[in-house]
Amino acid sequence: MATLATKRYAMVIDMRRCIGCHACTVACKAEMAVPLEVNATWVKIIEKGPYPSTRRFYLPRLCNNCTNPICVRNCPTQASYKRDDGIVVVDPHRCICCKYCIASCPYDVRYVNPFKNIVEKCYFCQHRVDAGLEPACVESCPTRAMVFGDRNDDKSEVSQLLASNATTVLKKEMETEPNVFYIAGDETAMSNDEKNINYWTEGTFFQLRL
Amino acid sequence: MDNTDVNVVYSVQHQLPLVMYIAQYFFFTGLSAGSFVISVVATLLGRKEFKPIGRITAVLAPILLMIAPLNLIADLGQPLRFWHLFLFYNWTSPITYGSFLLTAYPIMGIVYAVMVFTNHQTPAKILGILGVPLAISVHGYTGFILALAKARALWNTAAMPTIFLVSAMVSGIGLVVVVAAVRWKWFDKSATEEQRAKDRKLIIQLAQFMAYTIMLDLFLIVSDILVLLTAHSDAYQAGMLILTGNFAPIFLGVEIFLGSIVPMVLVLGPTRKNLTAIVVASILVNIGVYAMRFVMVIGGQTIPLS
Amino acid sequence: MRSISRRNFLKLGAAGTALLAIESQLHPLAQAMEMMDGGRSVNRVSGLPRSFLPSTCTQCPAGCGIIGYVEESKLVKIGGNPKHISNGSALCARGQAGINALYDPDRILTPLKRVGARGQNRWAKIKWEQAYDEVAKAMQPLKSKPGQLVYMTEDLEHDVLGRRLAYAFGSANALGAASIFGANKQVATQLTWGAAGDMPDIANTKYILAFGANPLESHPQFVGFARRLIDGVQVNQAKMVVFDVRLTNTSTRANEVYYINPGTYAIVALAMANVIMQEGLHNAAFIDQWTNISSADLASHLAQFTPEKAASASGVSAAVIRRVATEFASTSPATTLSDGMVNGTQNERAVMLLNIITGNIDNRGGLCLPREYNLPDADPAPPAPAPTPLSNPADLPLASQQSIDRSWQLIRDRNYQVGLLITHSYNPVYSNPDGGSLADLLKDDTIVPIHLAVTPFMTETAALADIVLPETTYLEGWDIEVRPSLEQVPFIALRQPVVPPLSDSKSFFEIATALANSVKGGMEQYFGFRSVEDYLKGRIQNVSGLAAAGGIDYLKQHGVWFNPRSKPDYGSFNNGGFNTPSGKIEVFSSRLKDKGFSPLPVYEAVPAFSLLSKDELVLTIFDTAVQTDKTANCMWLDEILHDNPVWINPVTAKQLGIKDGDKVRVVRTARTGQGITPVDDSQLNPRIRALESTAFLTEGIHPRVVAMANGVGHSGYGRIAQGEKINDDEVPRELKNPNTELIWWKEKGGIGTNPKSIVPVMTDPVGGGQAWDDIIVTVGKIKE
Ligand SMILES: Nc1nc2c(c(=O)[nH]1)N[C@H]1C(S)=C(S)[C@@H](COP(=O)(O)OP(=O)(O)OC[C@H]3O[C@@H](n4cnc5c(=O)[nH]c(N)nc54)[C@H](O)[C@@H]3O)O[C@H]1N2
Ligand SMILES: Nc1nc2c(c(=O)[nH]1)N[C@H]1C(S)=C(S)[C@@H](COP(=O)(O)OP(=O)(O)OC[C@H]3O[C@@H](n4cnc5c(=O)[nH]c(N)nc54)[C@H](O)[C@@H]3O)O[C@H]1N2
Ligand code: SF4
Ligand code: SF4
Ligand code: SF4
Ligand code: SF4
Ligand code: SF4
Ligand SMILES: [Mo]
Repeated sequence: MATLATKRYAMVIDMRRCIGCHACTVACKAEMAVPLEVNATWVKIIEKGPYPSTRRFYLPRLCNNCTNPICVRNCPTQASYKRDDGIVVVDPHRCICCKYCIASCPYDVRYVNPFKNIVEKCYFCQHRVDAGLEPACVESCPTRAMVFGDRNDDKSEVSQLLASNATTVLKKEMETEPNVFYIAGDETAMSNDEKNINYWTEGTFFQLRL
Repeated sequence: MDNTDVNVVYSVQHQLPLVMYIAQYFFFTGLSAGSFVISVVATLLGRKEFKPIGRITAVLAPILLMIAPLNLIADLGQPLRFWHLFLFYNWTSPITYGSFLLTAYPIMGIVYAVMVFTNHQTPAKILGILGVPLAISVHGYTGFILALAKARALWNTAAMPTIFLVSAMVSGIGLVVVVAAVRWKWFDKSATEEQRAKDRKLIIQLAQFMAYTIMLDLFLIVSDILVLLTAHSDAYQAGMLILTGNFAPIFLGVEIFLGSIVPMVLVLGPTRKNLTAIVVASILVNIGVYAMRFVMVIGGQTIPLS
Repeated sequence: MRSISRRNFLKLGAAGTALLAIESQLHPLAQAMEMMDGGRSVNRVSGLPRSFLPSTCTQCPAGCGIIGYVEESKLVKIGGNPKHISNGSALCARGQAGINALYDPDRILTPLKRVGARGQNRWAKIKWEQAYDEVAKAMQPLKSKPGQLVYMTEDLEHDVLGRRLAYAFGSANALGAASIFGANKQVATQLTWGAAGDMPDIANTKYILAFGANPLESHPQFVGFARRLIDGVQVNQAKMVVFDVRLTNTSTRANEVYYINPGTYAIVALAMANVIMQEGLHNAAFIDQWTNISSADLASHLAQFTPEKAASASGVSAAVIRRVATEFASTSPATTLSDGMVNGTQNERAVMLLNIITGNIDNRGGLCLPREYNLPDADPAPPAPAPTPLSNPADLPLASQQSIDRSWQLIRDRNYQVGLLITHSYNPVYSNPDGGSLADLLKDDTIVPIHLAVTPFMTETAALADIVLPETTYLEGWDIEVRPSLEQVPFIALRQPVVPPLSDSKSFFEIATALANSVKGGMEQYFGFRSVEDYLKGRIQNVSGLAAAGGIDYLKQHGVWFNPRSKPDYGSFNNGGFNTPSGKIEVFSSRLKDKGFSPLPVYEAVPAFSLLSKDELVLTIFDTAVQTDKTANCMWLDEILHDNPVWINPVTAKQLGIKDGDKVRVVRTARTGQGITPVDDSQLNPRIRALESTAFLTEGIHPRVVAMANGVGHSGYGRIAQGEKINDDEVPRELKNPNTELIWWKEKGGIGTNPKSIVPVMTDPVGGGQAWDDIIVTVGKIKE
């Protein structure tokens, strides 16, 4: 039995199996008591191509629990830290909610919990993983598009998927070394090139608190 | 794939982590750093006519710097835990440096001010010399805070700390000019005519110095934008956001036109000897710099990362 | 982790190993399920395990196995039941959001009596005793004319207790609403192979042809089916070809997608069948042995449906029709999917024909018979009273007892007098076609003298009741739940309370029992059970093997049971034939012929479609993966899907001068319904002819079609369904949830429009099913 310290958790999301159903989103809302308005995970959906060859592409997004996390590097109180098994967590008792980690993360995956006034994010369901369970989103996924496990264990399903498939990560150039891998992830969905800035301005002023 | 063919059917909106408190905080530290540097210059030069300026700024600097962190604490979701910053510091985080700088700098500022007011020239000069790098760091690090958020294209440029510093100087001088002018007009009636003429000249010189700093600032901003527009697509979006997008009115209209061009014209043009025009220019400069903080801090976050 | 899971699974003990034994004979997926770790949950902070109970989800018809996790007698999470044969540990968004429905702050927790006029939504709280008394007082005078008690429910098949209540009183009018969901398919399949419904063996197939079905968003067995479909496509490398009028999640996973002209898929299917016969790719032996028509006769009947003719009707090229037909026939096994309720029973028969002529009937990987325990009601079961014009409308002789739209018509036209209307789990004002007129009808007390609504929520329909009885939600109630098995092995599942009934709400069993005992007059003899468990025991007593396994106690512990000795008995028709008069598959249906319909599968064009003028479009209303008609009070779902703008192809939008985000008006034209059943537009309330929405420009839709999602745009059903923020201070203790103060979508996205409001009743003359996708509309920009 491997000890905790030698584990290296990762998630592989097989986009050939994903059906964009949002079960993972709601699983996380329930498991993590994520309030309305904020999300630890969500499924981005885009359409591309002209009629009649239009296709839809999905992209479930969550914290990458990076090997080289900018959020941890920039957290001034060490409230954000990386566990030995690679899971990046926030200590709710230490976080001062300066939100600098949110500003720093290249993936928009952290949020302030409006009830608790601390920063939260996906931590690969550490409480479930520690109890020998799969993360809630993984367990609920109707098509088993999401697979979670130990990269250091060659026999684990994630290791095998990583070994036998080409995978990509989000924003490789950020050098955060994400631990969420996508099989057959759509390039456009994974970049934010197509973004329409106007879409966000509403949020901009809405979220302004002063 | 041609971008026009892409339709985002579903995504979510994200919180803006850094709000106006932070922009304001950047503005106040900038003001403080600017005034401190001027004060030290005045003290070091040791010329009698600079003395009032040196004094005004010596007081302004620590006061402004005490207002600044109030913004920070107010912004914290857990203000009562601010002490975690000192107990659980993290040397890879710019904020940790900031917390210590923000503590050290006002203390030294106060001591310096006391020295200045009690006419202890030598200690004041020594403290001043030591203090300038501190002041520069205290403000420069705010630029680093933004620059080190790697994924935010508008922030993540090497020029960011310098831009913040130069605009801090601009706003700092602007503030000093305003305060000095007010003092000259209403509170300095006891001085001799000759002294008043000298002071007036000094204010005008200071304003001209401000105009040159604005030029430097503009140069930096223009270079920054040129690089943004030619770099990767996020950066291009960031550039366009402030040139033609939602932040264009504030950036081009307030920051550049009202806050830079108009003051330069007022200070260097036909009205260059007119104290009222100079004061107006200095106020505009401060509005411009405040706008700059807004555009940078808020605008920088409106480009989605997902 | 995987090895731990296996150990945990084995820990289930003897019963667990029995399950394991059968599962390994089943599809590999079932084996995968064995390895899946699930069925447990821990507290996020303390890490302590939560207590749990298995039950069944009824947020949609799929009936997935769930586990409710409880802390301090509060339901804190819903997960999948790893032992459930259909969904295992997986659960869709709606299943997991059921907890929002349980704790909906606007749940009704005490019986209500109307004060003021119907529909004013002013209520007095009353005691249960008073409520029962009042209902009994309304029922007693009907004893001499029991048919005046009209009981309506969403799905009669799954409301055995409701039917019992009506029958015990002597009324045959226990009415289900299948006409608004699968009626045409039920009737088509019943006529053709003697069983209502079908079950494609999707994980084992090699070729999938989908006609207007969107299983990856809205299959009647969503979670289990989606997983097996993806396994079929990814593991088994099945090819999938989709014909739809718009881009769906199913299209996304398909190899080929064709945007077909609306209402025309039957001719494509028939042309494919024709090609297969012509090319000699059919399974002549199967046709000759197992159908009641000869290959030669069938071939000559199909000859009229040339690919060219089909191409000109459907817009799908003749070459594609030929190629796909050839591929389908030469790939084995293969199956079709057709869940769309497009235009009628004949369409279903046309699609079924493809499976029949290729012998893909009840084989591994083909179109299988639905395998489901058919459980009788518990003894002593009340006898079925003589049918009434309402329960069996004369003009729909082949349809089931679920042709509710026709029943409504009879009531509206005063051809059938109602004494007391009971609506249970049924919200026609929102869900039915022409719901607006139903609202008007329900306000008229000469038509409906008394209306009793049994529901946990103040739906659009309940708001028009005289008395509302607060039933528990599905999470606090009991039932036996059977569904056609995706593994071809029938199973029995239990729905049991994962938490006790909140406050003063009562389960339907309790309510029905109390009503029967207050009305008396003989009906109480059918409600003499000591407990609901006793009643449910009566329903499963004849299932062989279950009693030995532990009967209801087994179900209470595991949530689901299937006979560990049973195997998928593909080809079961080989012993004893099909359950039709001829014992064969009735490609030629004499029963259809007798009633004056075409006995052979044909294409019946919707005449109006071929006559579409330049600005006429066809409105289609589709289901989504995150909502059904009854999930809008779940805030987690509304946060994702709260709005349903009108999908328009940019080319069409340009012609109409509409830009993305423009406000638009969608107006149903008077020509809607031509060729199906004529709709007399003048009879309808003009206010329900048009709706307002916004335009969503997408390349993913046929240029002659506009589409809107179903499930949003409520005008009742509590404040969450309507996107209102709720002040948590005013909410009863047991329903508090500060999140409801954060509801944001009404201001920022809107709550959508109910598209069904402009759909008239259009009944398929054979199956009695509603045509939902055949509404002819014009769309115009609203000038501001
Ligand atoms: N997630 C989810 N699952 C559900 C439900 C739900 O609401 N949500 N509801 C459940 C219920 S009650 C039912 S009855 C089933 C319904 O399951 P389905 O019948 O599969 O669902 P629909 O979305 O109504 O229709 C299927 C497709 O038909 C297409 N279509 C419309 N008109 C035409 C046409 O003229 N030609 C062709 N070829 N295609 C056409 C639509 O675009 C749509 O994609 O789903 C069940 N499962
Ligand atoms: N245009 C268009 N219209 C459609 C469709 C379409 O594709 N297009 N789809 C049609 C189809 S397929 C269907 S199945 C119908 C569905 O429409 P309906 O038959 O009306 O069913 P629902 O609205 O799903 O559920 C009925 C009611 O159940 C009650 N309910 C919810 N949860 C619980 C619970 O836990 N306990 C109890 N006792 N009651 C509960 C609520 O009062 C809810 O309103 O809509 C149809 N309408
Ligand atoms: S639950 Fe699975 S299939 Fe559904 S959106 Fe998430 S990853 Fe995709
Ligand atoms: S994704 Fe962002 S929040 Fe998560 S570990 Fe990486 S940098 Fe940190
Ligand atoms: S908000 Fe909390 S976790 Fe994030 S950087 Fe600040 S202290 Fe660290
Ligand atoms: S792993 Fe857990 S915390 Fe992370 S997205 Fe999935 S459910 Fe949420
Ligand atoms: S498919 Fe979803 S809503 Fe339907 S029964 Fe299963 S979990 Fe519940
Ligand atoms: Mo349905």
